[in-house]
Amino acid sequence: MKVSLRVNGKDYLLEEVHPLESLAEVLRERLALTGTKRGCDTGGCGMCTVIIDGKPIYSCIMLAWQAQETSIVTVEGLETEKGLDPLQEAFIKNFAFQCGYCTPAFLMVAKSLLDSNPNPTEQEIREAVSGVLCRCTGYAGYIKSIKEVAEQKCVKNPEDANT
Amino acid sequence: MDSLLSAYDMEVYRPKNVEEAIGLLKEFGPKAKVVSGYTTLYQLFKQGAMEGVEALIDISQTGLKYVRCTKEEVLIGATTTPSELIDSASAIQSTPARVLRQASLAIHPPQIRYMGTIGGSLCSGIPFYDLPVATLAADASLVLRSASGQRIIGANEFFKDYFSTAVAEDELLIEVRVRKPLEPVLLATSFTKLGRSSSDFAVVNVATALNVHEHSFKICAARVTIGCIDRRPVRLTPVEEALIGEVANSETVKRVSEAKIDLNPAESIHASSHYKAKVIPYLLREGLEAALKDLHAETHSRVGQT
Repeated sequence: MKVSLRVNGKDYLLEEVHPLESLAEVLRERLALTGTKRGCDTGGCGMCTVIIDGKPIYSCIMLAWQAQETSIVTVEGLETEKGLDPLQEAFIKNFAFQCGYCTPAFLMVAKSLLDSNPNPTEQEIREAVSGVLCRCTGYAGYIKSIKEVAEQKCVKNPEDANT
Repeated sequence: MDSLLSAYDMEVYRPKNVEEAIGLLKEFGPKAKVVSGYTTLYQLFKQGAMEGVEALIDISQTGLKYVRCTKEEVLIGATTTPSELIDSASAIQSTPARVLRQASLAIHPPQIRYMGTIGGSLCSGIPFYDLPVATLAADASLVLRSASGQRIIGANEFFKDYFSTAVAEDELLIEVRVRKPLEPVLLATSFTKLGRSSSDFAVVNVATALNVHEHSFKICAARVTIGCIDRRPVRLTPVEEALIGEVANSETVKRVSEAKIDLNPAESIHASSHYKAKVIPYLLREGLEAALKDLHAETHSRVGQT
């Protein structure tokens, strides 16, 4: 079947997509956006998390055709002409990862959280990242980084924080 | 792509309304599978259990995503997600449907709350899912529609067996309805769940929905339901009977949860029958205590309003 997707602001029209081809497979194999990882491939580990219409979604158990008419953001879409996303900067600064396999997924859940809730409590951060598994147990660094970015943003853009 | 998955040969249909969807169901019968969130079906496809499926009927665009209140009922469209139920607090908080919201909050990981749907959870016939247990506690009615008409059945008749519900091959679950109490009562509801980890399926899950008399604080109706112990979610009738007529307080909770209940829970890969039987009284107590807290919150909010 034909599938049209909008990923990181760019439109793609794909031919001969199998009805059971997952979004994660399409992102990685057809669009070469390999920042999105496949871990358990059964909706358990969260490695494949991307943002769809602002929400964190497991792309391994979403079919590619289901993501049509939505706006998909992957880790490749975080960087702008101004540079890396503040979350990426904070992850680097705090060395918030070890092997790095789960880093894109943590970035996506964090981005989605801060976009909808710019000033989350630690509990809200923990809840938001609970659907991503880090086998190196790097959670403390991730949570610290997300908190830091939230605090910086709220200081820099007090108006944004209220929207 | 996984060779098992690529071997499936099927068409995807995306009907724009319920009539189109049930037309397709009539046409394809057992060769069709209804899909919306895909969070359950993917597993069945991956295990090769969906042989012979020729049509995937995606109902996500049929207008079944809503939470509405009428004077007598709360109406929840079948493709409403747990996340949307959580966001519907203002519509359902003062109704027994709030146990569905509490169950939605127990669904982990959060990503699944955005993807799964209440209709999918109920129609899966999986006895360890959370929303079926809560639906039974809310005493909900399920609206099933087919090309030959519509029927409404109670949650107690809906769940049949593993992967089996009352939904016929040509029928579509379109709506979940929860009646509001006829008399003014206080509501005390809760959902508790024991999983192996915070983001796992339930090992045992319990939903509680009590109606409490406004002045005497006596429990006038009780539904306590449990998942993971049978081939479908079940009511704990002896517990319900022990609660009715008692004052909703911690002594009652203690007495009822300490009373011996004769259960023979089905064992699963997650836990033995013995283990489940051991933890159920604790979970039950936690559930009843949470319902009491919920009752206090409701009493306070009412005082605040007057």
